[in-house]
Amino acid sequence: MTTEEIKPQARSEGLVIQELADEVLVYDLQRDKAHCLNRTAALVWQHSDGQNSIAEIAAQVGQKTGAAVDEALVWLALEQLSKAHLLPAIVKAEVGKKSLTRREVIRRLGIGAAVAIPIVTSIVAPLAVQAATCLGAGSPCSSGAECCSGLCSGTCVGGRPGGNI
Amino acid sequence: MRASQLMAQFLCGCWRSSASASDLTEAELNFIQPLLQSSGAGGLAWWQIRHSPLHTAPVGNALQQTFRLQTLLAAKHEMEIQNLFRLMREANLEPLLVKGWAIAQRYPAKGLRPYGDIDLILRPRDRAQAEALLNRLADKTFRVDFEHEELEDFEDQRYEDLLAHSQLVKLGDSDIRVMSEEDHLRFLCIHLLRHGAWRPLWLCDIAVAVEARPAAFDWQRCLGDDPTQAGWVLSTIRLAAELLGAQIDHTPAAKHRLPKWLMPMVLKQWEHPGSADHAPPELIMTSLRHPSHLAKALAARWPDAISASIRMRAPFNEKPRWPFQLANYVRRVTDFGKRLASLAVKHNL
Repeated sequence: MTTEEIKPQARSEGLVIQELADEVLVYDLQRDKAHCLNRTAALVWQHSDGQNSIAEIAAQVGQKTGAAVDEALVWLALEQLSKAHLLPAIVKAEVGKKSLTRREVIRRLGIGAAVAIPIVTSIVAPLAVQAATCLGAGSPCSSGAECCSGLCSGTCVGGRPGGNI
Repeated sequence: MRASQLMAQFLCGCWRSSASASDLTEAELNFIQPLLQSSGAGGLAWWQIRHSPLHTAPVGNALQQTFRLQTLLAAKHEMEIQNLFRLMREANLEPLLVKGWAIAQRYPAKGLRPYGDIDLILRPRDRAQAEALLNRLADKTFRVDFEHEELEDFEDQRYEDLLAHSQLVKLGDSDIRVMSEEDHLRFLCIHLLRHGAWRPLWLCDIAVAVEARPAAFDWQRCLGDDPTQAGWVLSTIRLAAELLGAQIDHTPAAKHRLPKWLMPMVLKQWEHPGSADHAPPELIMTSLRHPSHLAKALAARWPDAISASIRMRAPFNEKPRWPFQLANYVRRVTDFGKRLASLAVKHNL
């Protein structure tokens, strides 16, 4: 497959997407993973519609950012999107052959590049234990261990959970 | 300064769209970060510092990650609520959503508040049908809670009253039924108190509900006819003002006096604001099998002054709280014993 023939298509199934002011957040329902795309990565992803070639994506991202965008930047974004499973597998192999490392891209574009280097990061954060840790009175149960009271008779007998949000 | 006082100072006004950092240092924020995260206030903490130099500090990055994750989980939770309402309505059930999204939708951003179960109120006679419906669902990733101690002696007639005053709020292309502002504020106050007020987030919810109330807010309906319950609600609103800077001018709570024991008690609770601190430490049944653990398990169930007062329907005044705590404790132990005995009879033990 030649570079012109590669028309990446972003995955759209099984994702929850939230756009914030300067980043896009993506939750992968199949893998239970959350990702944060900076603006450049998000633009590449959004223009990966299966119709645009790499050069066309670069041009469209350039239009949005108001600066010339090198194809190397698009490849770097695709590489990261692919690692995060946000591109279908078929594109992955091609991306692997063409992509450059972040260091190579920075060297090629220069440190003062007008467009930010694309970054896709995993979101990892501790969350409050939100749900009740045991079942309160009346909740269906199969064993006493599930109930706050320790008593199960089809439903929990007595006891109350620790305080849901 | 105690961690809980620092946390109260830091969270002042954090629910407002204009929220901005207090003058906490990075070291102070580092000190209270575990409490903020474990209590579910991590997203609100990020909101407070997002325009301050602290936002680029490691503690700021950690809080921002929480905000991001909560934003995504909130979007997922909203989809679940929409699906749930669609399913219920297909079965001719009309639930009322309480807590959770019902109050979170009043915050200025999606990632500010975490979610737990989906709390629904139904006509008591419809509950079995709703539970059967949920049990048939293939998707078991979310949990629905129909059990709400806040509504004592809940009967169909009370549901009809709540329904008559309820409102529909848009969520995407769905209409979600929630309580009236008045009923919901009362419900949130009593929920906070019944659980001993240990989550600062619950008090933020009260502040949001009070500040976002409509001009025609009916205080008479919110406070109700029972002076004891009205006192609880007023005290909770006053707490939101005293501890978190909620604007309560032109409300009946503005002139309400808090009993002296209440605010120190809430701050004491906020020293341990994680769910793990408030879950029963060991199941009573397990303790019964290991008698040496029983004393510890029973001691850990000594109720706090706030929840004991509510459960014993005691007014918030200057009288000591220990009699209510003791009475509540005895009642719970007795109730548990009765249930244990009836279970033994049922299973021929």
